[in-house]
Amino acid sequence: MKKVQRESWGYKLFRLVFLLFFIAVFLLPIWWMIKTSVIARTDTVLYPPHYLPNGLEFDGYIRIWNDQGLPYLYFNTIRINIMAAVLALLLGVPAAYAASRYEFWGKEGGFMFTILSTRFLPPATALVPLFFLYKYLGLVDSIWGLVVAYAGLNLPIVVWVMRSFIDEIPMAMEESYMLDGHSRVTAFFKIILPLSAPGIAAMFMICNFLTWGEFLLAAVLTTTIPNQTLPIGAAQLEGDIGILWQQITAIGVLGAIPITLIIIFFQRYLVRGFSFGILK
Amino acid sequence: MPEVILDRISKTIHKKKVLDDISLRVEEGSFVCLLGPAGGGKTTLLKIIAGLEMPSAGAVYFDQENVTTREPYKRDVSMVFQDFALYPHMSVFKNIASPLRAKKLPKNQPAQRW
Repeated sequence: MKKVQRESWGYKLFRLVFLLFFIAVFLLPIWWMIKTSVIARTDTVLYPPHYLPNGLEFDGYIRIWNDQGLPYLYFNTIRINIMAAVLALLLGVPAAYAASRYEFWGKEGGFMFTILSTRFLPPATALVPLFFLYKYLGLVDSIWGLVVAYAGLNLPIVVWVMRSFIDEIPMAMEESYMLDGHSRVTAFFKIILPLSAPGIAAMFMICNFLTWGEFLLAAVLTTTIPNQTLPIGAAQLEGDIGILWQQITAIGVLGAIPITLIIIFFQRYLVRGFSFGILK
Repeated sequence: MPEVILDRISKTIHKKKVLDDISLRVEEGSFVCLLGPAGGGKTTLLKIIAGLEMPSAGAVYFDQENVTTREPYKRDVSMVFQDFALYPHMSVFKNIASPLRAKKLPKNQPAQRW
């Protein structure tokens, strides 16, 4: 038997130090956020800063809890993002299926390119036309307006990723299912959807974190608290009497919890899905 | 088993002519073997008979009845694929019972048939 080559002690140490360094760099802002949210207000502006909190104080969280609007915004952020991700998947997955399985004129050159090209422009350039469009449609300052806008932002990515995912599912699978006597629609629901479930889970996750902290569209398209999201709420804490770091970071900590849970949950699903054997 | 007639079938895929004016008559109860080199269009022809592909020109008849545009699941045709496709997300039972389910037999029926 071939002898397994052992990694040298020095290499292991180097790797450990290297990884710890990067973990520290990436976790520093998160640590700062968590720390700032639990220290006294006067300590948030200390210079030089303390890296460890001297005494815990949950004033920021309590203020948020008692605030008139913020719990609303929190719930809104979760609701709008999940609805937008679901809408983008509802529209995007069938579109991706069509792009993968059907032949039509201008598929490669025009269709897929046009879909992706909606992402070429920075969102700011579309803002004014979008606002006027929304005004005429009566979608300004409504939950659905933001849901549609976010779904629209994510749709091209969903179509592109899901298309290549569905391309990987062998055609013979559906064809044999159709020859069993099932319609194409049934084949889509019973074969394509279950087999692309890992991709759908991944896209659900990606859609959510692409729009989770979105500020620009939310700031322009919504005006009242029942329809706004957390980033807007956080921005309003930057007042005349200075920046309320304690509360802003508390919002950051609380706002990160649902998206972290979504990622942890779907990540597990993702790994399991890819190890499926399809054709024997 | 119906008589299968192919009437001047042509098929173009990606601007390439795969089948060019194929006519064939398979009588009821007969055993026919299509021989040809790889990439010769044998599978495409089978798929056209099964309804999985649409011919670019020509027509398919089952017992004098034009079925060219009929959906595969309404044709009652069987086909064995080159790579045999199992449905990896279904149990063995569901894999086998799939055609029986398609016929909308009552729920306990598949188990009895086996």
